[in-house]
Amino acid sequence: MVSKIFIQKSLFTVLLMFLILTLATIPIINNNRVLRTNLEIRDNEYTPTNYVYLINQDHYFVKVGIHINQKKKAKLIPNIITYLKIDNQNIPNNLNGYIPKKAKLLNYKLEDDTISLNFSKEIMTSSKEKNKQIVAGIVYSLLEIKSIKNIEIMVEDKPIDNYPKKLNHRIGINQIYNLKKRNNIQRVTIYYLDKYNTYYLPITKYINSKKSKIEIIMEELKNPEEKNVISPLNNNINLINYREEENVLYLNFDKKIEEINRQEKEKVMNTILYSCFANYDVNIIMIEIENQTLDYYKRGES
Amino acid sequence: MNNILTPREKEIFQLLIDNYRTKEIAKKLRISEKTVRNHISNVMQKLGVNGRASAVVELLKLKELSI
Repeated sequence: MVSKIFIQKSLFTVLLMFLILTLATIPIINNNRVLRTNLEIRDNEYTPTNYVYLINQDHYFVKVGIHINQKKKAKLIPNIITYLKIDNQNIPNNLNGYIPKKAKLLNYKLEDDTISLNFSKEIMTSSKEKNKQIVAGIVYSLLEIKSIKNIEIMVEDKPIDNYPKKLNHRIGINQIYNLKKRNNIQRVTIYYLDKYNTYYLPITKYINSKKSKIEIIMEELKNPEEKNVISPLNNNINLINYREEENVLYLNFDKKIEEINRQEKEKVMNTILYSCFANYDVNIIMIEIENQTLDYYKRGES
Repeated sequence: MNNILTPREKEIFQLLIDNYRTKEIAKKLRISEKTVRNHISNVMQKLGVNGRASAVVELLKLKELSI
């Protein structure tokens, strides 16, 4: 009798342990998901609905695909802000947010192409550099929402110091100032890959140049000057010519661009497209090969 | 660091980065070339930098100028 009770108890304990272990190994299913890397999007059932900018281990902003189960544009805003907070558990270990944990989004508004945010005073820190980082990250992340062109940031109903009221890509991200003279200054934002070949990494460069922005982008992508980035574009690919007409940027390449394999081609096209959309106020980029149209990409869909 | 530049200094530096020369700035603002140089020199002193390019870099960082 004793042994029967003992066997029943043991069986029950084993079953309970099995149940606990099984439950512990099943991942918690969230509506909001971060994709580990931008470069495996096509193989992931959770295709990104949005992109945000987070800080990598080298302290650069990188563009990260996230999945937010929310179709209403206004409701996306607080979800995106949550991703940007320091020590957010939903983002990969090697990345971090920058909005202080105690900062609260008091209210927000979406009107036409402008998002207005009103934060609690904890959003600003005592470090000017950190504050610049916070502003740049918020602005670039929210400008990734389709058709959003301006961001307004308030702290307890007051505009932030040293910034214009409406913020956009002109504020720059991961800025590098490489000026030798005070004239012919160009501001160009170029999207490379980070040195781990995992995320796209934008750098806003201030340089002296008489060349057009697309010429600077192509030169930089062929031969990046920066050490912490890599570019998938090799020296053989040539942009024959380009033109901007009625909201469309036409890029006409030579046939060597067709020789790139499929996986590399996606990276090459993304670095070019992201860079062009960051510098040209166009809604469509048309890719041509020796004057024959190959493909076109809409802003926010590439 | 609010309003590090006076409106006149800001006007002069904005013209400088728009590729205007000292002579052209003086003509446009109806002031002497010497006054333009004085304004530029004052700004460099405020920022603690040598040279116009360094001053432009600092002013871009401080969001006092925009491109």
